[in-house]
Amino acid sequence: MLSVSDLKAGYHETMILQNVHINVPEGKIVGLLGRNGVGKTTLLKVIMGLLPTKQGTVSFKGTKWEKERPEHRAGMGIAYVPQGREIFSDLSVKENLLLGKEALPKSQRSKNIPEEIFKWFPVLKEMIGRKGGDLSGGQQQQLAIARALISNPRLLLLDEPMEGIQPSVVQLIQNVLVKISKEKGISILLVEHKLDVILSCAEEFYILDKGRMVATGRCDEINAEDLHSHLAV
Amino acid sequence: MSVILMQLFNGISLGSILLLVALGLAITFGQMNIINMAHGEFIMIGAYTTYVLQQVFQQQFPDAFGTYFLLAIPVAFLVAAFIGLLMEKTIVKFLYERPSDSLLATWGVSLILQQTARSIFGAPNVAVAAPEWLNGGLSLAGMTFPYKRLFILGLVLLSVLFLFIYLYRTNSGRRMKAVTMNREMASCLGVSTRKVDSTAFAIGSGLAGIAGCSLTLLGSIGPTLGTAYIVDAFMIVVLGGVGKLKGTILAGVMLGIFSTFVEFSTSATIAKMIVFAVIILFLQWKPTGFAGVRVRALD
Repeated sequence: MLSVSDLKAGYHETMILQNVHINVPEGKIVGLLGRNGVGKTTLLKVIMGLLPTKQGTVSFKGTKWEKERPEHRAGMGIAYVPQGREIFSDLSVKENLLLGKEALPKSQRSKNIPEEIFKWFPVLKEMIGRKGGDLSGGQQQQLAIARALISNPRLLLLDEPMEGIQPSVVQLIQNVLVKISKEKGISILLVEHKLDVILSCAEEFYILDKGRMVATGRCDEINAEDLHSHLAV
Repeated sequence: MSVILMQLFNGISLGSILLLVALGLAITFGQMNIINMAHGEFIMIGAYTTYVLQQVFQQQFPDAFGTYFLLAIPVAFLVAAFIGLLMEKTIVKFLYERPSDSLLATWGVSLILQQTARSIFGAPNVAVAAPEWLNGGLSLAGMTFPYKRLFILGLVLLSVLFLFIYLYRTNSGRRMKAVTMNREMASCLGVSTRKVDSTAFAIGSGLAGIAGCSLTLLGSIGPTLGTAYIVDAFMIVVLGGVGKLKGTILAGVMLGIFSTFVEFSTSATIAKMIVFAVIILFLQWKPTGFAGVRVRALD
């Protein structure tokens, strides 16, 4: 589904990512681990088209992307939930959700919110008329994920979605991610620094350290030594 | 009492005119962070469009002269919006996120537009004759409220209403608000920010065109008509809170009323100084203006 190879990218002259490779197969959840500041968010921004590539390729469904803008990539089936949710705080929950439909063809942009969204995140139905900024952190996170899912993506990029939210909501989000991956065949690239979250829902993992991929494999075969040397603070 | 009421009416009237000028700026400056120094020239374009229509009606359709002004409002909007769109596509779109460059470039455009108007219509001001039904005034409780100012007030209310319907009831308006709040996130959701920018610039310029059209009712017009209003318009946008339409409306009306009352008790020059001083003090106290964003802290 997504293939990144030999990628170099960064901000202006500062190179953050060095020769990064990553593959996200169809319908799988892939975890991306790493300490703070190693380039995880940068990688997601490059995939989404928010940052340019200096070298290497990003391919999605077999098509190589170069300078395609984020809106084009969203239209092709990538949805992005950034760190800090970035919901539109002055817009209502419904308006936030409807904005998620912008990536769909015009004929599919009805003003109805699909019931399955409320099935996954029931609290959003209760809050539908409230402003996004009035929601709690956990509710905002659910809104951000629901807004991404409403565009029927083929690949979901999640940047530390469990950060700073209560355990019951973490569990709810984990369940939804596993469910949509299995039932809808959505591929998920999950950036997370909590190992237990990755182990409980991802099938494959990558570890990023100082801008380089230093370890990869199946989650059930994860190596304690890798974890210790690249993730321990 | 009647003096105070009359001053209040004058203040609301002045505020409504300033608001009409500032509405367009609230969109271009508020949304795109483009300091469009040529915004005043779109007022001038709207005013000259009205002048041209008036000439056409006087010469070709004298019997229908009374209706020309009603036609001039949408035509002024469309002409200014079209020229604004042209400017966005050819100049402004290359200067996003380069505020000082865009400031200089749009200032250059403003000089070109002024000179173009001078070449076409001549340097002296020209008068635009208002239709007969706008002359005179409404007498009420010993006071006279000029029809022209009442008409402008109605036009401003209508413009605000249309703008609110556009922003809060249409998909295009929702996209525009999303881009204003978070451009990067909006594009990640599939919103074409370039299209939204062009639309916003055209609407902002068009609103300035309507402001120019209404200003023809209050006096003669010239190539530098817009420059007299541009500083006040920027002040209103900043005072209201950049990107906040409700704040802009409040700031426009308050500035109009406050200026009128201060001017009534002092003089025009001193009033301007006092108004500037009060705004500076207010912004020191509340830098985000009337409508600063309040968001529930995450977690």
